[in-house]
Amino acid sequence: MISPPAAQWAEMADATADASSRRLDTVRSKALNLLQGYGILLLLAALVAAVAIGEPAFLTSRNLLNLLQQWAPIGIMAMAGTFVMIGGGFDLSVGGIFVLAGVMFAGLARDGLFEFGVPVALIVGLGLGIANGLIITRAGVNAFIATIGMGQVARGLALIYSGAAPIILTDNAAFGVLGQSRVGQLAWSAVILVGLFLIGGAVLSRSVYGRTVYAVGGNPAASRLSGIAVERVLVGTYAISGIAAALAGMIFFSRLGISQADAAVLIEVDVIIAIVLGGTAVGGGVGAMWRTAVGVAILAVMENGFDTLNLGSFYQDVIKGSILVAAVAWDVWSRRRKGAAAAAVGGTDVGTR
Amino acid sequence: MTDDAVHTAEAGEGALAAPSPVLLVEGVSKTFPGVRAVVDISLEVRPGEIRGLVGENGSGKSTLMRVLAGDLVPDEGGRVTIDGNPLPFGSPIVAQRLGVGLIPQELMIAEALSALENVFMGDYPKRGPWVAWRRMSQEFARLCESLDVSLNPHAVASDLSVADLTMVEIMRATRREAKVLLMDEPTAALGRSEREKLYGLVRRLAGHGRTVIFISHDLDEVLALTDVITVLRDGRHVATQPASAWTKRALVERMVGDASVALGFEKAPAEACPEAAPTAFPAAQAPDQDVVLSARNVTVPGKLAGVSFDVRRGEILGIAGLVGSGRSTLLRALAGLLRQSDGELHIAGKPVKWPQSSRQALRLGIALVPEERRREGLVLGMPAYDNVTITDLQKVAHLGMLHKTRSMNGSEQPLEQVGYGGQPGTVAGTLSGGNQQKVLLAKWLYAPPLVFLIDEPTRGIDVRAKQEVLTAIRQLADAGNAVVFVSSEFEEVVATSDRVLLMARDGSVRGDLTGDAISVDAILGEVFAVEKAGQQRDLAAGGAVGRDG
Repeated sequence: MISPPAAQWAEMADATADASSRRLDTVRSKALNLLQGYGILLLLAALVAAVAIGEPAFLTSRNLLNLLQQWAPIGIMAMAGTFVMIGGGFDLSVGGIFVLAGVMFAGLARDGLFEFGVPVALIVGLGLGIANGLIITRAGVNAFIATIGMGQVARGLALIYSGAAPIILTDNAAFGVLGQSRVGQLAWSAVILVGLFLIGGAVLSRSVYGRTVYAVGGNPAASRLSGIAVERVLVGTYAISGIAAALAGMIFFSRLGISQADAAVLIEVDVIIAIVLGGTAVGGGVGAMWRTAVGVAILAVMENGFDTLNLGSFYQDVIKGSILVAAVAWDVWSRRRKGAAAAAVGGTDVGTR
Repeated sequence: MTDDAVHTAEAGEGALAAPSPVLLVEGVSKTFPGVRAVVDISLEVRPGEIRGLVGENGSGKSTLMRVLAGDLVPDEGGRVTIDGNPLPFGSPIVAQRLGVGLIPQELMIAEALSALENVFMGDYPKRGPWVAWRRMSQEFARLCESLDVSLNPHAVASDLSVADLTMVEIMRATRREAKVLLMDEPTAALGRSEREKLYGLVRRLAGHGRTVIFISHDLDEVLALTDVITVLRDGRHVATQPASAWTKRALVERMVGDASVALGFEKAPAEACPEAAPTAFPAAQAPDQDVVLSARNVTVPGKLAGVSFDVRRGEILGIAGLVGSGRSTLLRALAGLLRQSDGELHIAGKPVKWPQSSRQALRLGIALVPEERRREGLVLGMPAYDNVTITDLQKVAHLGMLHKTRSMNGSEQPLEQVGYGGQPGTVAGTLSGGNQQKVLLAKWLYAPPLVFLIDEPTRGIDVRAKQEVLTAIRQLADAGNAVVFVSSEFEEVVATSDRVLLMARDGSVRGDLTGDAISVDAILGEVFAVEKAGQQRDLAAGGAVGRDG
C-alpha cells in the first residue's frame, strides 16, 4: 500500500470529526429509515391488537379465514396492481373489468354455458388489460384517463349485457364453487389469494420480468437504452391487472350467488389504497409484494374493526379516503427527506426516482 | 495560480473607474450526488458591465446562474452579495427583491396569456382586490419606450416569436428593477436580425447602469457584445479578462483543451495504450480490414449534414468539435434515438437498415453510453449489480428467476474491469459520478455490443475517476471493441483516441486526424478553418446554426 500524502491524511481526519458530529443525526435518520421501511408492519400490529382487545372473537381462525375469503377479490387485484404501479402506471379500470367479467360469467352459467364462463371472462379481462396497455404506451394517453375510460366502458358493457338486472344464481351449485367451496374451514378463494400472492411476489422480486418492471418504473429512458422493450413490459403489467380483475370478479359474484352490473362501485379505489398504503410508490420503481399484502391486511382488519364498532360504511369511506391521501403524503415526505439533494439535480430527475 | 494572475490584471485595468462591484461571488461550489457542477467559483462584476460567460456544455454556467437566481442552494462556504447585500440562497423571491433577474434558457412564459400579462405576471398592479388594467398598460408602454421595444401588449404569448418572448422576459425583469440580469443563452433560438435587436437592448440596459451576465455558445457574439469575458471549464473558473484581450482562439483553447488547467490529466493513458494493444490482441494488428461499423451520409435535419465515417475493431474514434457541431446528435442518431435521422449503415461489411429505435440499434450491436448518466443511464433506485445485469438479465437467470448472489457474481467481473470502487450492492443514485460512469461502462462489458458510443463520459467527475474511466475505455478498445468517443475536452480526445473525426458547427465532417497528427493544436487549427468556412456558408444561407439537442 502506498501511504497517502499528508494533505489526504488531514482530509481524512476532517472527515472523522465531521462524522462524529453527525453521529446523533445518523442514529435518528436510521430510526426514521426503519420506520419508513417497516412502519407499516407496526401499524398492522397495532390495529390487530386494538381490534382484538375490543372484540375477542376477532382473533379466531374462523374469523380470520373468513376475512381472507372476503378480501380475496380486492387482494387479487391489488397483487396484480402492484406490477402496474411499480412499472410507473396506474389502473383504475379494474372495477369495470371486475364487474364485466363477473356478469358475463354469471350470464353464461345462467344460459347453460357454465364451462365457457371462466375462460371467456379471463380472456375478456386479459384483452381489456392489453388494450389499456396499448392505449397508454402506443397512443400515449395518460394512464389515469385511459383506465378511467376503460373502466367506464367495461361497466357500461356489463350493464348492457345484463340489461341492468341482477342475474340470480343462488340455486346454481356450479356457479358458487369458485367463491363458496371450502376445504375444511379454508375457502378455495382464500387459497387462490395466498397462492397468487406467493407466485406474484416471486415473479416480481425474482424473475427476469419482475426486475424489468422495477427498472422500467425506475427509469424508462435508461431501460430503453439498455435494450428493454419498455412498451411490452408495461403492456404486460396491464394485462396481468386485467386478467386478475376478471378472476376477482368471478370469485366475488360466485360467493354472492348473484351477479349485478352496478355492484362493487369504487372497488378500484380500495385496490389502490391497499397498494399505496403498503408503501409502493405512485410513480414507479419502488415497492414490494409483501407491502401490498400488508396493505390489504390493514384494510381488512380495519373494516372488521369498524363493523364490530357498528360504524356505518359512510364513516368507513371518510376514513379510507383520508388514509389514501395520508399514505401518499407520507411517501412524498419521506422521499423528499431522503432525496432532497438528489432530486435537485434537475427537474427531470425527480420524475425518475 | 492562473486565476489570481488574471484577476490581478483585471483589477489593474478596472482600477481607473472602479465602482464597487454590484455582484460579488466568493468561493461558490455546488455538488450534486455524483456530479461536481460548480467548483469554488469567485467573480466580481461591476454596475453597467456586460459580462460574457462561456464554456462547453456542463461547464457549470447554468448551475451558477441558478445559484445566483436563488434557485439552488450551493455547498456550504460560498457567498454571494448583490450591491453589498448578502444573497440568502434558495429563495428566488428574495433574490428578485435584491435585484437579480434570471432570463432562463427555457423561457418562463404562460403561453395562453397576453404579452402584457406575462410581463406583470405574479405582480399585477392592483386597485384594491382588482387588477389595475389601465395602469398596467401605461406601465407597459413606458417600459417599451425606455427599452426601445415595440410589442403589442395584447398579443397572445403563443403567437409571439422567441425573440419577442425574450423581450417579454427582459421587460419583466426590468420592471422589477433588476440590477443584475442573468441571460442564459438568450440568442440560441434567434435569427440574425432578432439577435441584433437583442444586442441593442442589452447595450441599452448596460447604458442604464444595469449589469448583464450574458451566456452564449456563439463566441463571435460574446466577443463583440460583452465588456469582460469569463471562461468556465468543468465547473471551475478558468480565466477572466476584458473582451478586448481575448481572441476567439484563446477562448476556445481555455474552454476545451488548455494544458495548464488540465487538472493533472497527463497523457498517461495514451502512452499506456495504443502501442501496447497489438501484442495483447492480435486482431488489432490489421485494423484496416476490420471495419466494424461504416456509416455514410448520416443526416438529421437541421443538425447533421451528411456525416460519413468508419470505426474499426480495437479502435477508439474520437469526435472533436465545438458545441453545436452535432457530436452528441451523431451518437444519438446511430443509437436509434432520433426518428428523423437517416443514413446508410454497414455492420461488419453488411448493409443494414438504419436503426429507428434503441432496440434495433442494440440488435445491430450498437450501444450508447449516454451523457446524462442519471437521467438516461442508470436506474438510480437499483443497486449497481442490477444496473449492470439489466442489459441481459437472462444471462444470470436460472429458469427465468433471478437470485441476488447470481446477479452480483455476474456483475463482479465487468465492475472490476472498469475499476469500480464501490460495493456492488450500493444503490446507483448514491454513488459518486466516477463510479456511476464506471457502472455505465460495466453494463455494456457485461453484454458487449460490437460498437460502443460513449458520450461525454468524464463530465462532472473528479480527476482520478476521469483517468480511470478513460483507461477503462482504452481497455474496451484493446479487448477488440470499436469505440466512438465524444468529449468536450480536446485534451481527452487527444489522449484517448486512435483517430479523431473533426466536426464543423454546421454538422458536417471536416476530416480526420490519425496517429501522431493528433494534437490539441491540430484540432484547434482544423476547427478554426472549419469555423471560417462555416461562417461564410452561414452568411450565404442567412440562417441560424443548428444546436445540440
